[in-house]
Amino acid sequence: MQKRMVPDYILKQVEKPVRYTGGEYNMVVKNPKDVDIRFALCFPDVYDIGMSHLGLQILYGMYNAREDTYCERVFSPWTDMEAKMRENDIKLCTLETQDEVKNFDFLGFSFLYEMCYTNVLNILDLSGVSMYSKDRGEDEPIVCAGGPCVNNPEPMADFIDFFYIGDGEVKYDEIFDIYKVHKKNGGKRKEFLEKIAHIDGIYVPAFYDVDYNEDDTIKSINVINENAKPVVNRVFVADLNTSYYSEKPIVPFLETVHNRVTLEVFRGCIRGCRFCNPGLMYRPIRSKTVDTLMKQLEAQVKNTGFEEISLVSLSTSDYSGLNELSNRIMDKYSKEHISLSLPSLRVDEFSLELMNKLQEVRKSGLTFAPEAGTQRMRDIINKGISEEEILSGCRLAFEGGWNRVKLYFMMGLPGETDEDIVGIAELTKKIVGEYFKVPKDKRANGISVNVSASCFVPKHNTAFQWESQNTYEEFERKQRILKDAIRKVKQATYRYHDARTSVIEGILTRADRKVGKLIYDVWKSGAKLEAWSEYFDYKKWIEAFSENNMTMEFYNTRKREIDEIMPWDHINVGVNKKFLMREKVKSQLGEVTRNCKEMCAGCGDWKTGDESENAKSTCEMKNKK
Amino acid sequence: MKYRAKYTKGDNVKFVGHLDLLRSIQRAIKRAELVVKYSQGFNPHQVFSIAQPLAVGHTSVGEYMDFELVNDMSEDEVKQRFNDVSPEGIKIIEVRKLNDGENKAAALVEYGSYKVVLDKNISDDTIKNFISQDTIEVEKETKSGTKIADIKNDIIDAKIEGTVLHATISTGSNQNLKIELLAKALYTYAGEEFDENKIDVERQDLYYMYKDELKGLME
Repeated sequence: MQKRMVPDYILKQVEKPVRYTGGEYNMVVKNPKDVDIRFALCFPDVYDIGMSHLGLQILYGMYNAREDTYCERVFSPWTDMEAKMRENDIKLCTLETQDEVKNFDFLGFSFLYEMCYTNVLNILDLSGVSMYSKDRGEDEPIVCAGGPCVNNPEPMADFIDFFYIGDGEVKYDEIFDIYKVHKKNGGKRKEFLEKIAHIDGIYVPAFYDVDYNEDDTIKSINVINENAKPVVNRVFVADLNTSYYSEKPIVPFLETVHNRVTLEVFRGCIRGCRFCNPGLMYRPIRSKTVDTLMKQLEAQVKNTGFEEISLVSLSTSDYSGLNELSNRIMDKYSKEHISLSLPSLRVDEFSLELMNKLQEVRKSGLTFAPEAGTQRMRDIINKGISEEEILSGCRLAFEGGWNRVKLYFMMGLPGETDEDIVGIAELTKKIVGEYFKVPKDKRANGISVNVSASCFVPKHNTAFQWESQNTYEEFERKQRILKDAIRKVKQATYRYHDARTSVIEGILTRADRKVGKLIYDVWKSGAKLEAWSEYFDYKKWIEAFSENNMTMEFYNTRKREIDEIMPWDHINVGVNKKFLMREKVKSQLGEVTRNCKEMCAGCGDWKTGDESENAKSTCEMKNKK
Repeated sequence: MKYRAKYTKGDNVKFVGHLDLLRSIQRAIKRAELVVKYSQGFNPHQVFSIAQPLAVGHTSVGEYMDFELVNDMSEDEVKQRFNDVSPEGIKIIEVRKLNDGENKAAALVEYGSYKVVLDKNISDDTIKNFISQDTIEVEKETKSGTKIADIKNDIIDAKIEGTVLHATISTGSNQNLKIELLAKALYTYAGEEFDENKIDVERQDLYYMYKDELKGLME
């Protein structure tokens, strides 16, 4: 019989028990006795979400490619399972060996969104690992974290032993090599952290101390351990053609959110939308060649049997080899009944033709992301698309037989007025108008437009990091305005989300260290799975703020001075602050910045390793000239 | 060429649901580079079917699937190729080519044999008396509520060895008896409390009735 973390009679009582039993095809099997390093890799949400994440598959394959390391997976249990675990005093285990996480050398988290922070604490608790870094004993795992959120690591600084800032592919070997020697020699955990603190990308929060001004803003961020660097540089892969890529991703039994071959075509984004954090955080721009992609694809298809291939990046339309790549994929795989899907394409003649080829008979919906309703607002956020381009894209789509359109907008953007909100409805109306301009015999019957407007969250490391976020009441007021305005367009439906999640996200994304205590208190009062609307409880956050004599306003609605020290200022993500300041000024003037293909905006130098003057930039847009 | 394969669903994959299992097998077939025929139409799918869904949590050493390959391939090669790339626990035991006009396994199946590890001691005498009753009434849950049903005719055979119940019962799309219902009726008869989460079920094989005899699907 298979060893399981929970007995069968409990598994029979929970929803989707296969979340907890592992054994999927391509799961790595090793004897833990044969390795030096045991790594528990955790995506702090349920299996179905975590297994859809490409980064997790890359790290898993890469760590396990080391013979001396066994990397195993762990996820948040769903509430039904958690209740059973607590009731029966069962500790959280990995899927692979079903061994308890607390006996591992490392427990590594991927922070993909801020709303997972209470899950992280819950996982530490369910694992029986000390919550606060300072309380952890010598026999407890080293707790580390990476992923896009750690570019502002501060809200989680008290709970994490070290953060890894940047692309996961770069420094893990060095860290594991150091750990192996360290473990053999029986060193203390603090000594290990001191040994890795100098490595680029490694941030040990306990080696830094923060001084505050009387108004609670930051006075200084000080190094208090001689091994730590005053500024931690984010690390990034120089060439994606030669860096590690998983040829044997795990094939989940369960229908996960994305259950298919996921092919990353390039990293970075040439569009400098001023609200967008990933668009900058994944720079420099680095593409894979079509040959590399075909080679990786072939291996993945052969090793998984997936029936769908998906190309991913922040903006796949901007991949220069897209036409050649999609043709080669279709030539090779359509006869094998393997389909290609292309999320987030910019709608133009080329992409419509491509989508036509992909779906042949069925026409699924099209998605546009104008982000704002008026040209003035789109210029402020540097969304490089004009109304004419949006309308002509829609016209082409309607002529091509599409009749279901999804539109994505944001509200609460800096400098926004009520006219900009009404502008969303007006643009929607014009789009519907384009449909009726197409002769009846040339268009599909009936049109439906789905309008979604999310609540803007000013993110760290963007041109809007100094800006005020709208209050909950303000968001609600704007939602009502839009609801009323859009009611007049009867072909359109407007969907909106509870603004309260955005408010909390807005606090966490720009939070300082003091917010760690709040996250702890909120978790303590029972919060978890907060990315699931049915479990998000705004009241818990309000209570935590008031109990700690802190205000939400300080973190979300307060406009920061341009020279204020940001909690993440000692993390150098590669995009320089002067560029962000320039972008902030330009946004106030309504000036657009051209995309990287047209003109380099000088966001960073993107040199890696070699500090000499002659070092070449790794950004392919910069190297073009 | 049409094939039928007998395969297992092992302990490590027993919580994989029916649809997830279907998809996992179809992916294994793709990895094995067995070129399955696709249906015609707007939404082509593999010509592939499973004899009888297995409940989540049950293991089996006697599951069946039918599929059609574009090329003629030896039975041994089909088995070898599949088993080389299938998940642990989902392994083909035997493959047989189907003759023209043979019924699909799903249409044939009428009975299944089960091995049930019980969590209580029930004597052989008890079960003998239990199955020799004139009627064996159980509460069956239907869409419109619970109703009383007589399952006597659904039981071909039932005996106990130690704490293991061996039973052959109606299993199929026409007439079906959940093995847990039989076990519950037996526990109730023996005066024991029944918790369906505490028994372990393994399907042994599937059959159909031919001239008053049970016949296996590979015959």
